Amino acid sequence: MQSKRKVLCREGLLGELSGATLLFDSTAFIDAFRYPVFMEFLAEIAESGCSLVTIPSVIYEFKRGAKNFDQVNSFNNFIEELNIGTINHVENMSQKKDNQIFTMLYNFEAFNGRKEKGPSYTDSLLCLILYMYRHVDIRLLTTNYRDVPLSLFDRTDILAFDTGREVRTTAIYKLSMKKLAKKLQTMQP
Amino acid sequence: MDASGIIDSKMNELSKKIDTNIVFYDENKPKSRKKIDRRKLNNLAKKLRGSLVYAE
Repeated sequence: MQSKRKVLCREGLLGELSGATLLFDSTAFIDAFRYPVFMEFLAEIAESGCSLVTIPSVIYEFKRGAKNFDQVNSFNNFIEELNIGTINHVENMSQKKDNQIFTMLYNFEAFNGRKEKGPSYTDSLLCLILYMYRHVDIRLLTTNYRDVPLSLFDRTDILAFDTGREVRTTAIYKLSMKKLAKKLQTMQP
Repeated sequence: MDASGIIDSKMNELSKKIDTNIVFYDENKPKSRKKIDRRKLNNLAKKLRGSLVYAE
């Protein structure tokens, strides 16, 4: 018998997320717009009590292509209906000393895994947020796997769904306090 | 009215056409369990699909 839910995930994930905060990358929005099955999954997560959040640069990335009031309002209403909160003042907070140290470490680790250009502006801010809000259960939903180095973050879950033409995957990441502590211990003042 | 005045006045008038209700994240706020309107969400997604520039 075919399962009603078409997004495959770890058993118990929805229950875990009900008390957590899920940070949206641009790729999560792309998949939600394109694939109703993924949007349904996100709606279920939102209804479970999980806080869905994003940052202004993710929102800006989408709105920059809007050419009329209808498109602008459709996106605003989409965010409102899914109850997605915005973390503001990210850039200002990034200048706090410990946030600068984390970003420096993140840049080093993220560049380590790639030979060409480094991580995107938005992805590096999203990873910084996982550090800034490390005292709450906050996780990142993204398909930009290369921009989330496993030397600092744990890939806690991989979600898969059938679009009809292909099987898409997306992942959930969490900052690993153990990995970060270990890396910091190796840094010399 | 000079150009600056026209801009301010026109922007003020057009701003009424933008639906914005930004909710800022507060980690201490109780989690919401609001029922999501699937039909509304699907209709919005259809409008947005293919109409925006995606940074893929």
